[in-house]
Amino acid sequence: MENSGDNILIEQTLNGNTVAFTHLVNRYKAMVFAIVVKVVLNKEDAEECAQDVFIKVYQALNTYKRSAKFSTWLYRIAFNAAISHKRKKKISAVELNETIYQTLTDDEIFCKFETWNDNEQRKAIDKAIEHLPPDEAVIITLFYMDEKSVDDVAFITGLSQANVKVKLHRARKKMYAQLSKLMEVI
Amino acid sequence: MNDINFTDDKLREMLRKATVAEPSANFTDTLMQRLPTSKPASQLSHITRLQWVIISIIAFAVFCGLCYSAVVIFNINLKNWFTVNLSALSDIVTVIAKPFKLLSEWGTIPHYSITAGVAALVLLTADLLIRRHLFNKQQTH
Repeated sequence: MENSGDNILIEQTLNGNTVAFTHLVNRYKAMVFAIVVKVVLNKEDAEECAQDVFIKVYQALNTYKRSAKFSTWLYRIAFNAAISHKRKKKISAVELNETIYQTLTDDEIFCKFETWNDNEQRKAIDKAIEHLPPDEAVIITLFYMDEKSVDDVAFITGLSQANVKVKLHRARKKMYAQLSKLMEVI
Repeated sequence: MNDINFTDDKLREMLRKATVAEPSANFTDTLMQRLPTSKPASQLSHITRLQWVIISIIAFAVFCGLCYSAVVIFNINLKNWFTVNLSALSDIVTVIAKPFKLLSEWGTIPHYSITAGVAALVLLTADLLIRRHLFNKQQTH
Protein backbone atom coordinates (compact mmCIF):
# COMPACT_ATOMS: atom_id res chain seq x y z
CA MET A 1 0.00 0.00 0.00
CA GLU A 2 2.76 2.39 1.09
CA ASN A 3 4.84 1.24 -1.87
CA SER A 4 2.05 1.86 -4.40
CA GLY A 5 1.66 5.38 -2.95
CA ASP A 6 5.39 5.87 -3.37
CA ASN A 7 5.23 4.62 -6.95
CA ILE A 8 2.55 7.16 -7.84
CA LEU A 9 4.65 9.96 -6.33
CA ILE A 10 7.73 8.65 -8.20
CA GLU A 11 5.85 8.65 -11.51
CA GLN A 12 4.65 12.20 -10.90
CA THR A 13 8.18 13.30 -9.98
CA LEU A 14 9.53 11.73 -13.17
CA ASN A 15 6.93 13.76 -15.07
CA GLY A 16 8.38 16.92 -13.57
CA ASN A 17 6.04 17.38 -10.60
CA THR A 18 8.32 18.67 -7.82
CA VAL A 19 5.44 18.84 -5.31
CA ALA A 20 5.22 15.03 -5.51
CA PHE A 21 8.91 14.85 -4.67
CA THR A 22 8.32 17.13 -1.66
CA HIS A 23 5.81 14.55 -0.37
CA LEU A 24 8.42 11.81 -0.77
CA VAL A 25 10.98 13.93 1.09
CA ASN A 26 8.58 14.66 3.95
CA ARG A 27 7.69 10.99 4.20
CA TYR A 28 11.27 9.75 4.50
CA LYS A 29 13.42 12.66 5.71
CA ALA A 30 13.28 11.62 9.38
CA MET A 31 14.51 8.08 8.75
CA VAL A 32 17.16 9.19 6.22
CA PHE A 33 18.39 11.75 8.73
CA ALA A 34 18.36 9.13 11.53
CA ILE A 35 20.54 6.80 9.43
CA VAL A 36 22.96 9.51 8.34
CA VAL A 37 23.38 11.12 11.76
CA LYS A 38 24.30 7.76 13.31
CA VAL A 39 27.20 7.43 10.90
CA VAL A 40 28.25 11.07 10.53
CA LEU A 41 27.80 11.88 14.26
CA ASN A 42 27.24 15.59 13.65
CA LYS A 43 23.84 17.20 13.14
CA GLU A 44 24.95 19.91 10.68
CA ASP A 45 26.97 17.51 8.54
CA ALA A 46 24.15 14.98 8.70
CA GLU A 47 21.64 17.51 7.46
CA GLU A 48 23.82 18.46 4.50
CA CYS A 49 24.51 14.80 3.74
CA ALA A 50 20.78 13.92 3.97
CA GLN A 51 20.00 16.69 1.49
CA ASP A 52 22.70 15.37 -0.85
CA VAL A 53 21.02 11.95 -0.58
CA PHE A 54 17.67 13.34 -1.74
CA ILE A 55 19.31 15.27 -4.59
CA LYS A 56 21.07 12.07 -5.68
CA VAL A 57 17.78 10.17 -5.45
CA TYR A 58 16.01 12.85 -7.51
CA GLN A 59 18.64 12.65 -10.25
CA ALA A 60 18.70 8.84 -10.28
CA LEU A 61 14.96 8.25 -9.83
CA ASN A 62 14.63 6.80 -13.33
CA THR A 63 17.07 4.02 -12.41
CA TYR A 64 14.92 2.85 -9.46
CA LYS A 65 13.66 -0.67 -10.14
CA ARG A 66 10.25 -1.38 -8.65
CA SER A 67 11.44 -4.84 -7.50
CA ALA A 68 12.68 -3.39 -4.18
CA LYS A 69 10.73 -1.12 -1.82
CA PHE A 70 11.46 2.56 -2.43
CA SER A 71 12.35 3.05 1.24
CA THR A 72 14.89 0.20 1.10
CA TRP A 73 16.49 1.66 -2.04
CA LEU A 74 16.55 5.14 -0.50
CA TYR A 75 18.06 3.95 2.80
CA ARG A 76 20.79 2.09 0.93
CA ILE A 77 21.74 5.30 -0.88
CA ALA A 78 21.61 7.16 2.45
CA PHE A 79 23.81 4.61 4.19
CA ASN A 80 26.41 4.61 1.39
CA ALA A 81 26.42 8.41 1.21
CA ALA A 82 26.92 8.65 4.97
CA ILE A 83 29.80 6.17 4.85
CA SER A 84 31.46 8.16 2.01
CA HIS A 85 30.93 11.40 3.92
CA LYS A 86 32.47 9.85 7.01
CA ARG A 87 35.48 8.62 5.02
CA LYS A 88 36.02 12.09 3.59
CA LYS A 89 35.88 13.69 7.03
CA LYS A 90 37.69 10.78 8.71
CA ILE A 91 35.31 10.60 11.67
CA SER A 92 36.40 8.01 14.20
CA ALA A 93 33.79 5.94 15.97
CA VAL A 94 33.64 5.71 19.73
CA GLU A 95 34.31 2.08 20.60
CA LEU A 96 32.56 0.64 23.60
CA ASN A 97 34.33 -1.43 26.15
CA GLU A 98 32.37 -4.66 25.88
CA THR A 99 32.71 -5.64 29.50
CA ILE A 100 29.44 -7.23 30.53
CA TYR A 101 28.16 -6.34 33.94
CA GLN A 102 26.78 -9.64 35.06
CA THR A 103 25.18 -8.51 38.26
CA LEU A 104 21.89 -7.60 36.57
CA THR A 105 19.67 -9.80 34.42
CA ASP A 106 17.76 -8.37 31.44
CA ASP A 107 14.54 -8.46 33.50
CA GLU A 108 16.21 -6.51 36.29
CA ILE A 109 17.51 -3.95 33.81
CA PHE A 110 14.09 -3.66 32.22
CA CYS A 111 12.33 -3.29 35.60
CA LYS A 112 14.79 -0.68 36.78
CA PHE A 113 14.49 1.08 33.43
CA GLU A 114 10.71 1.24 33.88
CA THR A 115 11.11 3.02 37.21
CA TRP A 116 12.92 5.92 35.54
CA ASN A 117 11.01 8.89 34.21
CA ASP A 118 10.68 9.45 30.44
CA ASN A 119 13.55 11.89 30.31
CA GLU A 120 15.94 9.54 32.12
CA GLN A 121 14.89 6.63 29.93
CA ARG A 122 15.44 8.66 26.77
CA LYS A 123 18.86 9.82 27.91
CA ALA A 124 19.95 6.29 28.82
CA ILE A 125 18.83 4.80 25.51
CA ASP A 126 20.38 7.66 23.52
CA LYS A 127 23.65 7.17 25.37
CA ALA A 128 23.61 3.42 24.74
CA ILE A 129 23.00 3.96 20.99
CA GLU A 130 25.69 6.66 20.87
CA HIS A 131 28.24 4.16 22.12
CA LEU A 132 27.56 1.72 19.29
CA PRO A 133 29.75 1.71 16.19
CA PRO A 134 27.92 3.55 13.34
CA ASP A 135 27.04 0.44 11.33
CA GLU A 136 25.55 -1.30 14.38
CA ALA A 137 23.63 1.85 15.35
CA VAL A 138 22.15 1.98 11.84
CA ILE A 139 21.28 -1.72 11.91
CA ILE A 140 19.56 -1.35 15.31
CA THR A 141 17.64 1.70 14.03
CA LEU A 142 16.49 -0.04 10.86
CA PHE A 143 15.60 -3.35 12.50
CA TYR A 144 13.94 -2.20 15.73
CA MET A 145 12.77 1.33 15.03
CA ASP A 146 11.81 1.12 11.36
CA GLU A 147 10.95 -2.61 11.61
CA LYS A 148 12.84 -3.59 8.47
CA SER A 149 13.47 -7.29 7.86
CA VAL A 150 16.96 -8.82 8.06
CA ASP A 151 16.80 -9.14 4.24
CA ASP A 152 16.14 -5.43 3.82
CA VAL A 153 18.81 -4.46 6.37
CA ALA A 154 21.30 -6.67 4.50
CA PHE A 155 20.41 -4.96 1.20
CA ILE A 156 20.69 -1.46 2.70
CA THR A 157 24.02 -2.03 4.42
CA GLY A 158 25.51 -4.29 1.74
CA LEU A 159 26.20 -7.00 4.34
CA SER A 160 25.21 -10.66 4.24
CA GLN A 161 22.15 -11.76 6.21
CA ALA A 162 24.35 -13.77 8.56
CA ASN A 163 26.54 -10.73 9.16
CA VAL A 164 23.50 -8.58 9.92
CA LYS A 165 22.31 -11.14 12.49
CA VAL A 166 25.75 -11.23 14.10
CA LYS A 167 25.89 -7.43 14.24
CA LEU A 168 22.37 -7.27 15.70
CA HIS A 169 23.42 -9.71 18.40
CA ARG A 170 26.56 -7.71 19.16
CA ALA A 171 24.68 -4.41 19.21
CA ARG A 172 22.09 -5.81 21.63
CA LYS A 173 24.89 -7.05 23.84
CA LYS A 174 26.64 -3.69 23.79
CA MET A 175 23.44 -1.87 24.62
CA TYR A 176 22.87 -4.30 27.44
CA ALA A 177 26.37 -3.63 28.73
CA GLN A 178 25.96 0.11 28.47
CA LEU A 179 22.60 0.16 30.24
CA SER A 180 23.88 -2.19 32.96
CA LYS A 181 26.82 0.13 33.46
CA LEU A 182 24.50 3.13 33.79
CA MET A 183 22.34 1.31 36.32
CA GLU A 184 25.36 0.27 38.34
CA VAL A 185 26.37 3.91 38.57
CA ILE A 186 22.94 5.12 39.64
CA MET B 1 32.40 -13.49 26.54
CA ASN B 2 29.24 -13.97 28.53
CA ASP B 3 26.11 -14.34 26.39
CA ILE B 4 23.79 -12.24 28.56
CA ASN B 5 21.68 -10.20 26.18
CA PHE B 6 18.34 -8.46 25.68
CA THR B 7 15.42 -10.22 24.11
CA ASP B 8 14.09 -8.62 20.91
CA ASP B 9 10.83 -7.52 22.52
CA LYS B 10 12.47 -5.89 25.54
CA LEU B 11 14.91 -3.95 23.41
CA ARG B 12 12.20 -2.91 20.96
CA GLU B 13 10.14 -1.57 23.84
CA MET B 14 13.10 0.29 25.32
CA LEU B 15 14.07 1.75 21.95
CA ARG B 16 10.64 3.34 21.65
CA LYS B 17 11.85 5.75 24.33
CA ALA B 18 14.86 6.83 22.26
CA THR B 19 15.00 10.36 20.87
CA VAL B 20 14.09 10.32 17.21
CA ALA B 21 16.63 12.49 15.45
CA GLU B 22 14.78 15.06 13.36
CA PRO B 23 16.22 17.31 10.67
CA SER B 24 15.64 21.05 11.03
CA ALA B 25 12.23 22.54 10.22
CA ASN B 26 13.45 24.17 6.99
CA PHE B 27 15.07 20.94 5.71
CA THR B 28 12.57 20.42 2.87
CA ASP B 29 12.57 24.09 1.82
CA THR B 30 16.37 24.23 1.66
CA LEU B 31 16.43 20.95 -0.23
CA MET B 32 13.88 22.11 -2.80
CA GLN B 33 16.01 25.21 -3.44
CA ARG B 34 19.05 23.02 -4.02
CA LEU B 35 17.17 20.67 -6.35
CA PRO B 36 18.16 20.86 -10.05
CA THR B 37 15.64 22.89 -12.05
CA SER B 38 15.33 20.28 -14.77
CA LYS B 39 13.11 17.29 -14.13
CA PRO B 40 14.69 13.86 -13.50
CA ALA B 41 15.97 12.22 -16.69
CA SER B 42 13.40 10.01 -18.43
CA GLN B 43 14.32 6.57 -19.72
CA LEU B 44 14.76 7.81 -23.30
CA SER B 45 16.92 10.84 -22.54
CA HIS B 46 18.91 8.69 -20.14
CA ILE B 47 20.48 7.01 -23.19
CA THR B 48 24.07 8.15 -23.15
CA ARG B 49 25.87 9.84 -26.00
CA LEU B 50 27.85 6.66 -26.63
CA GLN B 51 24.65 4.63 -26.83
CA TRP B 52 23.26 7.13 -29.35
CA VAL B 53 26.41 6.71 -31.48
CA ILE B 54 26.13 2.90 -31.35
CA ILE B 55 22.41 2.96 -32.17
CA SER B 56 23.06 5.38 -35.06
CA ILE B 57 25.85 3.19 -36.46
CA ILE B 58 23.68 0.06 -36.30
CA ALA B 59 20.71 1.87 -37.87
CA PHE B 60 22.99 3.29 -40.53
CA ALA B 61 24.46 -0.14 -41.35
CA VAL B 62 20.98 -1.68 -41.62
CA PHE B 63 19.81 1.18 -43.82
CA CYS B 64 22.87 0.88 -46.08
CA GLY B 65 22.38 -2.85 -46.33
CA LEU B 66 18.74 -2.45 -47.33
CA CYS B 67 19.52 0.24 -49.87
CA TYR B 68 22.39 -1.72 -51.36
CA SER B 69 20.19 -4.81 -51.58
CA ALA B 70 17.46 -2.78 -53.30
CA VAL B 71 19.96 -1.40 -55.77
CA VAL B 72 21.32 -4.87 -56.54
CA ILE B 73 17.95 -6.67 -56.61
CA PHE B 74 16.06 -4.12 -58.72
CA ASN B 75 19.12 -3.20 -60.77
CA ILE B 76 18.56 0.50 -60.14
CA ASN B 77 20.76 2.92 -61.98
CA LEU B 78 21.32 5.48 -59.24
CA LYS B 79 23.02 7.94 -61.51
CA ASN B 80 19.94 8.13 -63.73
CA TRP B 81 17.56 7.98 -60.76
CA PHE B 82 19.07 10.99 -59.08
CA THR B 83 19.45 12.96 -62.29
CA VAL B 84 15.92 12.32 -63.52
CA ASN B 85 14.05 12.60 -60.23
CA LEU B 86 15.91 15.39 -58.51
CA SER B 87 16.21 17.68 -61.48
CA ALA B 88 12.47 17.36 -62.05
CA LEU B 89 11.65 18.90 -58.64
CA SER B 90 10.91 22.55 -57.89
CA ASP B 91 13.57 25.26 -57.88
CA ILE B 92 14.36 24.89 -54.15
CA VAL B 93 14.72 21.18 -54.45
CA THR B 94 16.88 21.63 -57.50
CA VAL B 95 19.28 23.72 -55.45
CA ILE B 96 19.41 21.00 -52.82
CA ALA B 97 19.77 18.36 -55.48
CA LYS B 98 22.69 20.03 -57.19
CA PRO B 99 25.36 18.38 -55.05
CA PHE B 100 23.72 15.00 -55.70
CA LYS B 101 23.63 15.70 -59.38
CA LEU B 102 27.28 16.58 -59.27
CA LEU B 103 28.00 13.45 -57.32
CA SER B 104 26.04 11.31 -59.70
CA GLU B 105 28.00 12.73 -62.58
CA TRP B 106 31.18 11.94 -60.79
CA GLY B 107 31.27 8.39 -62.03
CA THR B 108 34.06 7.09 -59.78
CA ILE B 109 31.95 7.37 -56.60
CA PRO B 110 30.28 4.06 -55.78
CA HIS B 111 26.51 4.13 -55.42
CA TYR B 112 26.50 3.26 -51.73
CA SER B 113 28.39 6.48 -50.90
CA ILE B 114 25.39 8.49 -52.03
CA THR B 115 23.13 6.18 -50.05
CA ALA B 116 25.38 6.66 -47.03
CA GLY B 117 25.12 10.43 -47.34
CA VAL B 118 21.33 10.30 -47.55
CA ALA B 119 21.19 7.86 -44.61
CA ALA B 120 23.39 10.10 -42.48
CA LEU B 121 21.11 13.05 -43.24
CA VAL B 122 18.03 11.00 -42.35
CA LEU B 123 19.60 9.87 -39.06
CA LEU B 124 20.71 13.36 -38.12
CA THR B 125 17.24 14.73 -38.85
CA ALA B 126 15.63 11.95 -36.80
CA ASP B 127 18.02 12.63 -33.93
CA LEU B 128 17.24 16.35 -34.06
CA LEU B 129 13.50 15.70 -34.14
CA ILE B 130 13.69 13.34 -31.14
CA ARG B 131 15.75 15.83 -29.16
CA ARG B 132 13.35 18.67 -30.02
CA HIS B 133 10.40 16.49 -29.01
CA LEU B 134 12.03 15.66 -25.66
CA PHE B 135 12.92 19.29 -25.08
CA ASN B 136 9.34 20.43 -25.84
CA LYS B 137 7.94 17.74 -23.56
CA GLN B 138 10.24 18.91 -20.77
CA GLN B 139 9.19 22.53 -21.26
CA THR B 140 5.48 21.70 -21.05
CA HIS B 141 5.90 20.17 -17.56
